[in-house]
Amino acid sequence: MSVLETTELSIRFGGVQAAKDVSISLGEFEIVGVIGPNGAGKTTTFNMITGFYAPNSGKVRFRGQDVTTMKVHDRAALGMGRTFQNVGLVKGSTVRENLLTAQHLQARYGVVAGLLGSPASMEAERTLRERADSILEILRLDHLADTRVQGLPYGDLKRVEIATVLATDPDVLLLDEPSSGMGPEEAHQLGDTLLDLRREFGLSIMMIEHHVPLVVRVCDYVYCLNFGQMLAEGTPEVVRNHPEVVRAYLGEDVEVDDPEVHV
Amino acid sequence: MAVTDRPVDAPVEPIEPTPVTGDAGGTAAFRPGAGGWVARGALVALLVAVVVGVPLVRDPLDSAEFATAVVFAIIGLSLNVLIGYTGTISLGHNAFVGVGAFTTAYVVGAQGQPFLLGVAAAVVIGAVQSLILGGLALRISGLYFALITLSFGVMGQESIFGIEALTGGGAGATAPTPTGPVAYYFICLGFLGAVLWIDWRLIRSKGGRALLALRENPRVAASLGVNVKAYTIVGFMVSGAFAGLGGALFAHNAVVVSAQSFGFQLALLFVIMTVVGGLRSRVGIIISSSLFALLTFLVRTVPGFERTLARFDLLLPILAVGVGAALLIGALRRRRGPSPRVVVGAVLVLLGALVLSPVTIPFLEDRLAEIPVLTPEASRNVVGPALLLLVLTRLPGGIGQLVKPVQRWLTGERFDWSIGKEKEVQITDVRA
Amino acid sequence: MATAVLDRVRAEPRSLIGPGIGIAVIVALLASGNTGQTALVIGLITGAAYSLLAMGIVLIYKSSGIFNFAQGEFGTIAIFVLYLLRLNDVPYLLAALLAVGAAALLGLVVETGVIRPLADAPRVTLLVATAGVALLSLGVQLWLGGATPRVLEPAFTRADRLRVIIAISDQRLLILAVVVVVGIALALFFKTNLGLAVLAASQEATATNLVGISVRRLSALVWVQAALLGGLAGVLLGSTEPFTPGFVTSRYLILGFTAAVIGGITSLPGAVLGGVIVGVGEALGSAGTLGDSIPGGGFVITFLLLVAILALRPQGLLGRS
Repeated sequence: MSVLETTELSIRFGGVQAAKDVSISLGEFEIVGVIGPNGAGKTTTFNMITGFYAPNSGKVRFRGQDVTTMKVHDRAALGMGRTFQNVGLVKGSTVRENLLTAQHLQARYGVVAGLLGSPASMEAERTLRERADSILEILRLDHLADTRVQGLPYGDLKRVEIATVLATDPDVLLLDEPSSGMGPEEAHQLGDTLLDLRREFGLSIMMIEHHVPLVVRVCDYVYCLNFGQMLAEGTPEVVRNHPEVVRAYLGEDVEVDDPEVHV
Repeated sequence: MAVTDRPVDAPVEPIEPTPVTGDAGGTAAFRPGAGGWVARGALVALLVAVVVGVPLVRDPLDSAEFATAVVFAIIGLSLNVLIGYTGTISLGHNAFVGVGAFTTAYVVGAQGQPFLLGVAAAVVIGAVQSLILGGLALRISGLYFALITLSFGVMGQESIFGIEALTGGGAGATAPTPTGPVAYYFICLGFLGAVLWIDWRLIRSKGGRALLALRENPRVAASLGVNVKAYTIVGFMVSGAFAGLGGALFAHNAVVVSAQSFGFQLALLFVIMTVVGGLRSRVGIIISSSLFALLTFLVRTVPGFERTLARFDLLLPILAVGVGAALLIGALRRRRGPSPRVVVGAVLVLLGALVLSPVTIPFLEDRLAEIPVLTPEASRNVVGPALLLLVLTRLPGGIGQLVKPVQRWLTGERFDWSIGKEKEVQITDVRA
Repeated sequence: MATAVLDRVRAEPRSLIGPGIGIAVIVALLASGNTGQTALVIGLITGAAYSLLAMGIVLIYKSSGIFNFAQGEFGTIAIFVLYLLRLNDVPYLLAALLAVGAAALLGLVVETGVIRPLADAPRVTLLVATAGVALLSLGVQLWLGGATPRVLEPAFTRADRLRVIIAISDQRLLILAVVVVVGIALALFFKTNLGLAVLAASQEATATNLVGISVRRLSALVWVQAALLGGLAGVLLGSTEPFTPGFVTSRYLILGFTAAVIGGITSLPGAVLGGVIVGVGEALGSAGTLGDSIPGGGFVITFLLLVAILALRPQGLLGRS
């Protein structure tokens, strides 16, 4: 059984059919790539999976449970974590505070107890802080723990965002263009990081990506969307050389056999 | 034709991130020497002496004014929870405070119950009232909600507080002071301490972090597991509880409260003192609120204050010459050509000099005599909004921004003027 | 213009709901006998004042995207200037023009000193800033003038030229006429190139700048317009009651905002309709048993109307969603 699957998700905004009959599935410990030109409906699909948009039709299932109408924070409680295209962090807070916020659901004390400063709540806070610091260490971000997020360089921001989403203790990571803004070396490192994280944290990962070498190297399965619909799916090699996919990215006049064509 | 020879996905040596120096300082942690600690201790001792000692030393009746300052500080902190933490503006906080005041007046004054029961009732009613408003805030956002709070505040003054059965109409409601004035001041200080403790724990716990996250970025907050709607209500209720407390303490201090005590101008004053204090800066807000409350007192007691205020008509041209000269000097130092600043600076200097010159002063003296003296009450109405505009456009962190270097210094860090700078007054993220 | 309206109705049949409600309310009042009719007449008369303010509010919202809490103070400043000039026997028309000009100057100062530095700030911050301007104006008036009420004589003094259930003075008729004329003028303005440029700047300032239109100049223009409108409102309304510092703000502003929101914050005809509805609501609230049992019953009704509209139909009666 897949960890996460969508069945024929469709949504329209006004006159635009942003997604139509999108069916994707993510197996346990798999890394799945979602590719496609800009405007293909990839982030829209993510938004439907995570609960920011309500689809007009279709279903989203998490470990078999129908979550199509579940609220965003409830899906986070189930184990869905996601990153955003324009880095999703609380910029006015420090890095560590972001990770503490991300452990919101693991803070096992009531709001009132927290307000009054009960010993139990203060003890729980200590545990959260330790967890935050250990995650920061794993990602080699501990030297930034007390730095305000606002003003951090872009590469650090993306790593902090991954650390933050890891702090929510997810089962599934939905990454929206994790390598955007990265050069080839950084993207390669990111691939290493993702493979390590899958192994160390037991994650299943679905990612929207444009960086083809990363997708080819890291993904077990790839879906290609265009104009809101599924264009092709399969292993990375198959999808990459699929004539329709090439045409979607490069236009009509390209020879598929051209060895220089890197989609 | 390949663009580069090197295959695109070949692994390269990983680049180690260079350590970034954050707010905490350089690679070696800074530790103040013995002298440094003595200086810090002296400042703390001075502050404690002022807060505790001055009311004991002065005429006991003055303590009522000090108590008002403490109450205003509590109200400022309550509004800070709403604006600074939850990201919602309220232009009707006078109604929240007023409801707390009339509740305790009813429980203690009319029903003869003990003081603490009245205060507790006010806190509860304050929280309930803000629960309702919070529910509205979930459906109606941003600008429109601000309008609703303003409307609510005006309605409170004109309508709800006018109902005779509840508030005693024109004669007002009575809430007797439970102890002598000096003791009451310390009681209020105690409540301020409790408010500060709860506020501190709020920020350091999941509730406060949830609020700060949802204020700045509700989508991210939700994806991190925060129930945005529920925590918005929590923010409202904490703010309402504090406001109710402030109202109750205000009532027992003033002894008699009527609808007039809680006009909607008070709501705007509250917003001013909170923003000028600096959003999310508890110290700044306490200072700012106390200043606004103690303005009349300071004018009476600080020598020279009143005379300075009274000759405001002379201050203006002096100010004009000073500002104009600064603009001109600044422009000339940067060797800019004619620019708006040079023109404005020159005009200001000329006008100011003209007014101050021996030629025009006698001519203008009759006219100047007609300008009324800027009384302390009037100055609150003029200086307050002027400070607000100044903070919004030039000093977003408010008094808190100015005080933050001192705060950090007191906790053992190196004194650094650049700490605490804010880019803008950040209430919510909804932009034009 | 008629075909444009018909096209819009055909495309969005729901847009008839708003005007439909408005017309239904008016018909109901006309049919409901004396109380309703009196309320309607009083509502139209007082509502015209709210409409004047609401139009200035809508103008700023359409172009700057913010609520201008200083809109009333443009009016109060004009009243004070007019009063001072009349004390020195300046002819009424000249004094009125100078007063409105003073208001326009204030609008320019506010735009340059407060609005423009905050151009990128969140809208709520700008709202607080305009509230600060209003308070500062009020404070200065209190300081220089004191709180005593003063009386300004109206432009026209005949008080009972017209009689529709109640006596309607010339001044009130003038206000009604001005509302109609200004309403039409503003609606036409937004169809001109300049008006379209203003709308473009409010939606996409960068793109507007890039095609060669100076957004800064447009911003100044709009605020001067709004201040002129506010000043005009002040000059017309200042004589209807004895005035105090902050008169227009304390007496008319909130109701003006309510009128703008009810009518549709982006709709100028909405501002007029909203004014009428608020006027009627206030009249009904003060009349009869409601007015006796709850002090300030008009305010309660207005508050409830505001909440209802914002919760059920935020775009107002005539606004687009």
